Amino acid sequence: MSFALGFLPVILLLLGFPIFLVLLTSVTVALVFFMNVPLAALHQNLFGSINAYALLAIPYFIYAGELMGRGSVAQRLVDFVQGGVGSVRGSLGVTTVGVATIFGAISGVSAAAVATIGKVMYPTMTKAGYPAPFSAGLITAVGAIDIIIPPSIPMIVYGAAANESVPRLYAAGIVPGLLIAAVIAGYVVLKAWSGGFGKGVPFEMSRFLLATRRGAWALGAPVIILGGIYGGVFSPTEAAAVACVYAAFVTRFVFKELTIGDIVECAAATVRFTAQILIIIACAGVFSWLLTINQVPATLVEWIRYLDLSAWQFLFMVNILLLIVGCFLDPLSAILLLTPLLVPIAKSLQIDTVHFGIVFMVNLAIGLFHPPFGINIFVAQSVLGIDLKVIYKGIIPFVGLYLLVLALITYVPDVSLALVRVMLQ
Amino acid sequence: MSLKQKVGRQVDLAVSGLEKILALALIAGICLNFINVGGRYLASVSIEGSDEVEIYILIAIAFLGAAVVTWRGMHLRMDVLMETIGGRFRALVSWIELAVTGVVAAFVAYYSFQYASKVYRLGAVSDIAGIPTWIPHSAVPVSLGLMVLFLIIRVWVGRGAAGEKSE
Repeated sequence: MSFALGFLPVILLLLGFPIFLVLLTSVTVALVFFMNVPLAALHQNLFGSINAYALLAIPYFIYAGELMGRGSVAQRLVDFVQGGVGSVRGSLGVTTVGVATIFGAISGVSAAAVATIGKVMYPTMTKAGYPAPFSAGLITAVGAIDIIIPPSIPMIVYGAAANESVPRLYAAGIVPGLLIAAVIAGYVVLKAWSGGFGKGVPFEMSRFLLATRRGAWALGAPVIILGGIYGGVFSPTEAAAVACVYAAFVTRFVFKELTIGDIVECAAATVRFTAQILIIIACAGVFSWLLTINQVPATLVEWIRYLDLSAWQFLFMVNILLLIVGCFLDPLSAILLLTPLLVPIAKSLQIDTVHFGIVFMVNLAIGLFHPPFGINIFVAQSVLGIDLKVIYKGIIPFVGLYLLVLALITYVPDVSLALVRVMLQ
Repeated sequence: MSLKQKVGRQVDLAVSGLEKILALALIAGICLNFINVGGRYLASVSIEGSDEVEIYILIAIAFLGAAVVTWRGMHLRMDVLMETIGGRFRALVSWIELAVTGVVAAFVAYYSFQYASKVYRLGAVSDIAGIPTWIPHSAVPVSLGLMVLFLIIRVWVGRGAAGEKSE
């Protein structure tokens, strides 16, 4: 059995097989050669893993992000944030951080944020005298905030895998996401001072008001999503559906940028992206079921007990593991593969699964832009058209900043949980 | 235009059509959800069984969409290590992947088909909307069957084995 559920998936993963096939092959081999279970269970679990209302939020949020990511939404958000912080030294860098954070509250797909914001901000920053490695590193790193700030697609997947409430996870992601944004913004200002670039422009109320008016419709999406969920008006899935209708209305009738054909094309892109994710969720559901009935999580919990690890030692090990895994696997696959194994251990050590989920997200966020294989690095390379070495050079300080905040989030659970208590209890 | 090119073009069209149908279904699901939310607050009414319809659309997107993704060679994979290895070994792995996909997908499709047939014979329907549940269950064997078919056609028309992206 350890061959089918341990050795085989690792080998297939390393050979670069599609992740859904890694899981499906492993469970098929386990069921056919090592277990005496009716094979109808394979279909039941494949089907049952997707047969869940909460998962509807995934395509809906992706679709809302697709709609809002096209056209001038990014530029409007840039103008709005720049209008507010333009007088600060390093304001273009701070604007990049601010826009990524707001975009994260609309989309929740990190690569989309890097592409959308990068296209607007990289030429502007380099033209204004910001060093190319610094600008590229900043854009690549800030996109990762999107999976921590709600609505985050990986959080929905973690919620399904760990049987945890998505609104609780979303509430827990707000402070860590804003904290990362604030730390990066602070670093940008310091770097601009010490490097002598990024001189601010005097604040003008009229310009700020104009930018606010132009950006108001784009800013409405996060207000609807978060306000709707925490105001008790919608469930997360309903908030996602309302956000889609809002995004379609704004881009079609207010900004007049998308045609009906574009709206359908956005839906087709959403179908492709959703299918890539959901087929893995379906197969991971069977894999997770097999792990459970073979007592793998329970054995791991026993093993951790035997090692007499404390909660903080376990979290430290998890951080190391996830930072490594995050460099090679996309966040959703990593969540689906590791949550069934790690969450039972976390529970046995009395670690709150919401707090654990946020630690999970921040680690995987770092993996998104951590050299050498973070996916956002390649997105940035493709969109910005620059050499990988330039991005690698610029990204190192931001990895350090994220690790600093990760340590804080890991060992001070209240950074994540205080707002959950305030908002939901 | 050769026969292979014609077949490749026809499958491209069919896959784009399927993708568009799924896209319209997604939009329909979103509209249903939105109407339900609006109906709940404005008129205290809701469309019965809309949740079931939305979930079945999701199931169709997941499984039939996966067949689309297979044709386009867009499945998520951890290929950073393989990209550092070139030449024959990579081509060999690609062919092994093709064989494994074919065997596993055909095997699971067979058992899923049996399950969906059983549901059909039992005449089971969903709790509220009364939709025959063999329809959503069929998405699994249909998807896996299409994956096998698409892989065979991909290789035949010269678009490479499973590991290589579609043109």
